Amino acid sequence: MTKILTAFVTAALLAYFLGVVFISQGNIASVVELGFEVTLSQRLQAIVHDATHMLAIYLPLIAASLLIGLPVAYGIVRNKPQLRMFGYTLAGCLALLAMHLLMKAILGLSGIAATRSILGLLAQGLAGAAAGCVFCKLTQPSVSDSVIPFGAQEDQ
Amino acid sequence: MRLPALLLALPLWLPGAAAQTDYDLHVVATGLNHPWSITFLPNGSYLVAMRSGEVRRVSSEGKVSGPLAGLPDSYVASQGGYFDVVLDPEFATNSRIYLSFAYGTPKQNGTRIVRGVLRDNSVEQVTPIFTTSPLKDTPVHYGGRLLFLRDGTLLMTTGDGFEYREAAQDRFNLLGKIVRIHSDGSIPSDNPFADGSRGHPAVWSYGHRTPQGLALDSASGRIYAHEHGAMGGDELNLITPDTNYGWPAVTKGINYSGAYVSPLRSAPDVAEPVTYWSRSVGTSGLTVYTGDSFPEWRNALFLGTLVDEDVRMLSMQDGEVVDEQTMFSEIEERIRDVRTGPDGLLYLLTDSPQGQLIRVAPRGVAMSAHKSANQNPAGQG
Repeated sequence: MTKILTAFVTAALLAYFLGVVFISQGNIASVVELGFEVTLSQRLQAIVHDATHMLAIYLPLIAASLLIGLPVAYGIVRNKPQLRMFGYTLAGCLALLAMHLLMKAILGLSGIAATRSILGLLAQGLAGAAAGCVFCKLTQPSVSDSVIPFGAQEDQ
Repeated sequence: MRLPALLLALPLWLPGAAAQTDYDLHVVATGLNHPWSITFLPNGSYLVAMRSGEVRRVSSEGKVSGPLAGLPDSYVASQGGYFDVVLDPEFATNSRIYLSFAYGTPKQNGTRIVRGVLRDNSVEQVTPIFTTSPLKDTPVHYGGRLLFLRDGTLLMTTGDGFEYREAAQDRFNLLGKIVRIHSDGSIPSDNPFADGSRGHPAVWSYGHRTPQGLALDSASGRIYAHEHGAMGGDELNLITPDTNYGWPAVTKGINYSGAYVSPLRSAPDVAEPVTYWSRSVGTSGLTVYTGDSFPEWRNALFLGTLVDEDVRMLSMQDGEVVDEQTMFSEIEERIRDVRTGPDGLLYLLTDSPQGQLIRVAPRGVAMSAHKSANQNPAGQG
């Protein structure tokens, strides 16, 4: 169980960090496109700012999304070991995409401005995919494992 | 006088003291469905435009009429509905009024101005004179404040539509702008982009998010506007033509998600706000107080707040804020509009399904219909 928890927390934090970087740089790309100069130091400072200021809102949203997406993936791939990596990666990607699309459907507006563009939305999907991939790796079955819920060992 | 009107006319008075000034708050009318703006008619009555898509006349005794007939349907959703109503500077001779409102459909909407001739409780010869473009598909961030300038031209604020914030920097469209038109909707030839080569001919200033207050300081000729920032970054600006106010590239606010809208808080060729609120107060309505009833308030700016539910008095000196006071928080309602009446008193609109029109008068001074003085006949608080 500890292994699963550790994997989940690591995956969620990774998705959060990558998601924030994509959001931060996506917002800056819009500013640059308008003809304004943004320095490297401002870009880095923006990442730090956003990573610390989005914690309360975005990290729980990501965690909730993965908490739904990854167990669903487990349910699908548990008897198909050859699909573990693909399944978890896809699940992570879809979990984040679904979260953003759901937010837009509920709010009628984009909750995260950087996801207004297809590219920005897909970047969040990529962050989710990376999270799924890492979760899969960290829950890889080992010889000593006897029973590992959601994903590590295929049902016999 | 009917009993409810009589009760309203009686000083319900919430006595208070703000900025060392004693005043009474008189509820002139209540039961107004999300009132958005007020204007003052020469006969002592008021017109109140409501986000619910109605304009009603309120008599000087506080009696609220039915909706004025003849006005167009509005796209009433979220922040959309009727916005500002103002009188023509020549209202005494032409009886014209101007109304801004959310026009269109969920997929294609924008801010439109119509004008018409007020006859009793109807408006005739209603004609659209201006519509923002491009139309958008969000029911928010319309702008919609109107202001006649001394040269007879009309300013209107427009919003960025929320999802289209970068458009505020595009001088060729009308989202996130202050536009200037003649009263028939034609474009003044002295607008900064009148020839169309550097921007849309109607654009007066750009880089705005969603300005909800616009006022002229008739003594100095300064034009002030305030706009909502995203999270934090509500700002008051001194408006001049051909000026970039920065949104979304330069802002003191951040996204609601916590992320930067932009890391740039200032930039060359972008006007700095006169003042800003780093925690959003939700500015709405703006007037330069020019009355005689409160001499100590003269030439101060008053603006309402939707979030903090109070009024801010900004004491000004040479276009700069030298003091800020919080006032009328005892009302405990969102304040949508603040105007100076022609009687020299201050008027407030509260924002709720049971919105109120409130008159602020010096303590103990008997109520008077606003026609008793005529300092501001067009009611352009």
